[in-house]
Amino acid sequence: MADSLHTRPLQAGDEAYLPGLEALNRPEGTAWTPEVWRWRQLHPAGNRSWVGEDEGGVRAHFATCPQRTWMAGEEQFFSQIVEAAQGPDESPLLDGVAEALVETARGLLEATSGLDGDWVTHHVVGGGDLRFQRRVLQHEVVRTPLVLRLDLSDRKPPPSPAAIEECTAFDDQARWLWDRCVGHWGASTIRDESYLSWRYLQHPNTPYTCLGLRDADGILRGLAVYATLPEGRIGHPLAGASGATGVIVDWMVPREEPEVGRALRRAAVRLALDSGARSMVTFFPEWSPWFVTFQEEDWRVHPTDLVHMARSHHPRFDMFWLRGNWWVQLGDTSLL
Amino acid sequence: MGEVHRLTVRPYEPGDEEAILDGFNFVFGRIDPAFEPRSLEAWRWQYLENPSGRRIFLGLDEDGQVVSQQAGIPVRMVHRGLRVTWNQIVDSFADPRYGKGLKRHRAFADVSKPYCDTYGGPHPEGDPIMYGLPIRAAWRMGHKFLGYEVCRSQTKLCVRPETYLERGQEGEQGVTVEEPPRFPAEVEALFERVQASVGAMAVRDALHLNWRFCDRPDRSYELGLARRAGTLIGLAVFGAGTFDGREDALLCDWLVPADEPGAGKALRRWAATKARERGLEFLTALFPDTSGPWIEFQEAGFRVQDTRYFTSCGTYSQDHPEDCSPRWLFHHWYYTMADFDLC
Repeated sequence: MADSLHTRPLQAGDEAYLPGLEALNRPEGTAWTPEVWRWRQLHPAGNRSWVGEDEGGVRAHFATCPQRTWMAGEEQFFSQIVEAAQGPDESPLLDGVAEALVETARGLLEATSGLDGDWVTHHVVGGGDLRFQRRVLQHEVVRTPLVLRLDLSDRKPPPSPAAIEECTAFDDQARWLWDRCVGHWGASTIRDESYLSWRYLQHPNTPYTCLGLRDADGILRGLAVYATLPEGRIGHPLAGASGATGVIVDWMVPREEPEVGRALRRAAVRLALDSGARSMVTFFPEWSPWFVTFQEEDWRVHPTDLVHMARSHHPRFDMFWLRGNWWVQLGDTSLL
Repeated sequence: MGEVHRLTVRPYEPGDEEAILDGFNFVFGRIDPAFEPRSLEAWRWQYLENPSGRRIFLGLDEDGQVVSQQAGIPVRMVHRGLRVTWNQIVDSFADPRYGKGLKRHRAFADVSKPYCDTYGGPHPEGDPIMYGLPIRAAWRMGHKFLGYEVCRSQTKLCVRPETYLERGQEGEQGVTVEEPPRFPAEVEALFERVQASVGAMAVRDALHLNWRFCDRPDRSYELGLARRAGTLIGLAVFGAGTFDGREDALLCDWLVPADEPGAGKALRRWAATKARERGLEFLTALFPDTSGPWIEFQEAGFRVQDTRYFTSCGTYSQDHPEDCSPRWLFHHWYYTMADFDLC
C-alpha cells in the first residue's frame, strides 16, 4: 500500500469528494447522484462504506449494501457491492483498478465479511477482464446470468385481471407472502415490509410499480415489481434490441399458485405495453419452476454479458450450493 | 521423473492400464452410485486409440499402485482460424485409500502440476486451453491446482418427443436424413462451412467422428446425415444415456450451417422420432447459450433447463490472452455434448 494512503469507514464530510470519483461498477448510463446516495443510507439493514484517503483527500470509495438473508434455516447477512470508485487520475494497477481502490476494498471486506460478519459478498458485473474480482475480492462465478425476454412487437394487451392492485405501501402481509415462498429457497433476501418499502417505494430515481394480487379476504397472494427501462439505454445489460424495455424486477409468488403467477404476468405485460415498451425482460434462477413457466408463455431465454460473482466464507455453501439454492432477482442487484 | 512423498510421478507407460483402471474404478464407484466400471477395451479406445493423441500423468506408490491421475483427451480445434490442440480434462482422481485431506490433495497436486507444465502452453508446443464439465469435487481441485475458471453456468435444452412431434410444424421438403454406419469424408466440407463463422470449435472430420461415435466399444450411437439433392447439409448424432442424473434421449452432436434451417428441422424431427421410439421422456441437447442453435431450438419447442455443471476452462497461453480468456470462450466457443465425456 502506498505509504500515504489510509483506509477507514466513511465519515461526515467525505460525501463532498464522492461525485468526483469514477465508478467502475455501475451499469451503463447510471451516474452517481446525491439522491441515490441518501437513499442508500436509509437501508433498513444499514450500509458499509469505506474510503481511501491521503493528504490530498479521498482517492477511493468502496461500499457494500448488507442484505438480511434467510439461509439454510437461519438469518445471516449477505452484502452486495454497490460502489467501487476511484479518482480519475489514479494509475490502474489491475484491470483498470488503482491501488487506492484495491486497498479500500480490502479494508472494508476484512472488517465486515467472514463467518462472524457477512457470509457472502457478491455483485453482478459486466463481463470483461475479471481479474480484480477474482484476485482482490476473491470472488468466484455463481452463474453467468440468462434472462427471459418477451417480444411485445405484435402482442395485444391482455385483459387486466380485476384482482390486481398497485401496492403503494407494505405491511405484515409482505413477510407472510415471502414466508410462503421461502420454503423452496435455500437462501433469499428477506422481503419484508421494511425491505420492500425501501427498495421499491422509496427509490429516488426509478419509478417501480408494485403489482399485488389479493384474494377475496384481502390476503396478498402474489407480488410482481415492474419498472420500465426507457428507450435510449443502449448498452444497458437489460435493454432490448430497440425501444423501451419492461422489466419484472422482483417476483414473489408461491410456486403452488400458477394462476396467481399468470394473472401477475398478464398485468405486467399490460403495464409494459401501456408504457410503450417493445420487449420485456426478467430473471429467475434456472432451477425455479417459474423459469420454465415463463418459457411456456413465449418468453425466450437469452444470454447476457453479465457475471454474478460472489465469495462465500462458509465452506459448505460454496458456488455450487449458491447457484442451486439462492433465490436471486434483479431487485437484489443494482442493475435497475 | 521425480519421487515426491514416496510417490513416483511420471507420464503413462504401456502396461499401466490395469493399475489405472483399478484406481479409477474404485474412486469413481464411490462417488457415483450409477457408475459402471470401465473396461480395458473402453479405456484403450479413449486413450490409446484417440487419433489426436493422449495426455496422462500418474502418481504411483512404492507398490506400483496408481494413487492419483491427471488425464485429458486432446482435441483438435480451430481457434480463430488456426489449427491447435485443446485438452479436455477427464478422469482425474486421487485415491482416498492413499490418504485423506492434505495428503490426498498433495497426491493430486503432484500429478496435476507436471501435467500442466508438460502439456499446457501456447500453440504449437502446448495446449493453450484445458476444459471440462467438472463435478463439484473435481472443480475444487481443478480451480486450486489447474487454475480452472468458470466459463459458463451450463444449461441444457430439452423437449418431450411426443409434444414436439405433435406440433408437426417441423419438416422440410426435399431434405432427407440417411443413417450411415460411419461418417463419410465429405463431413469435413460441412465442418468447414460451420467453423467459418465460429471463433473456436473442435474439428469434426471423419477421423474424429468415427473414433468418437463409431469405434467406441461401450456405447452405441445413431448417425443422421441430412442431404438435399444428394449434398450433405447437416449432421446429428443420437444416443441414449444418463446425463445430469436423468436417463434421456441425447442429441449428442449437431453440425448444421446457420443458412441451412431445413437441415435443422429434418434432423430435429429425426432425433425426436428416435427418442419417442425409445420411450424416453426428454430429448436433450447441449449448446452454448451464445451459439446459433440456442434460440433456434427454443423456437422449435425446446425449453431451457438447469444442470449441475459449470463449463470450466484453464488458460495456458500468454501469447493471446484475450482469445483464451473465459469471457472470450463464453462468446465464441461452439460445443455440443460430444465435446465432453458425458455422452
